[in-house]
Amino acid sequence: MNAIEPTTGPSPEPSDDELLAMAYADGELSDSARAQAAERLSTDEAFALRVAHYQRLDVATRTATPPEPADTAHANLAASTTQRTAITLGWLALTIGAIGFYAWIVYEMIRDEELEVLPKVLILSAIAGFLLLLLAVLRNRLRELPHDPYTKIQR
Amino acid sequence: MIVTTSDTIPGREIATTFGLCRGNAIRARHLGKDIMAGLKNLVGGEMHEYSKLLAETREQALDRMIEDARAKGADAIIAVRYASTSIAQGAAEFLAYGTAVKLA
Repeated sequence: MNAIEPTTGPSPEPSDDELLAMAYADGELSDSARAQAAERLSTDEAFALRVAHYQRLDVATRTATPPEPADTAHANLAASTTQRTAITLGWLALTIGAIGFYAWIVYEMIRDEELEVLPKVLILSAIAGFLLLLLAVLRNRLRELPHDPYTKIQR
Repeated sequence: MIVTTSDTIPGREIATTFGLCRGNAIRARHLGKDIMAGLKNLVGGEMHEYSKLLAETREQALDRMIEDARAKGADAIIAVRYASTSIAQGAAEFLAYGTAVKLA
């Protein structure tokens, strides 16, 4: 017997020998069981072939699985000039557009002569309140940032 | 402080059990990160913004649990578990809990 023949059709339950060879190849045996199996490798050719087959299979499986990119690879991608320029320009355009849009809505509302004074005041008050709260939360966050060690954790 | 998910610590005996110790944390990224993560939702791949958010929250909850155990006089925590839930959109909550013990 020179090689493990591939099986076709429904896989039968693995024999005790196959399970032992798998456990040996995967390094799952206890010290004593591993020593016994290692001794058997030199005397039992079929068992040795079976172990070699599962070891090759293990390597092939790990090789076929794409490795997880290193963190530095992600950092390099994010740091590329094209990427940074695109993100900066995107944020700039989005910020200008969003602020301009809401400022225009407020401006139009103030100019609207059909709208009475009270609703205008209430809406402006709500906007001012929201901005004030946002500034308070932002100020608090900026002050607590130096005391927040968890911001440095990556994953 | 020994922190372990197992119910015992091999080679060590438990002298005193103080009971439950726990720490939780809820954190969020800022709106900019949420927008970027939302865009990644369209194209797929890892959302690094949220991976980092979960890691920050997990570590903070873990530290708070350790602090709770230390305040009880423990020098080890066994049977540690994590639980998470969703409180708010874009925020992560982690609860870390275990049994605070003093080793002999």
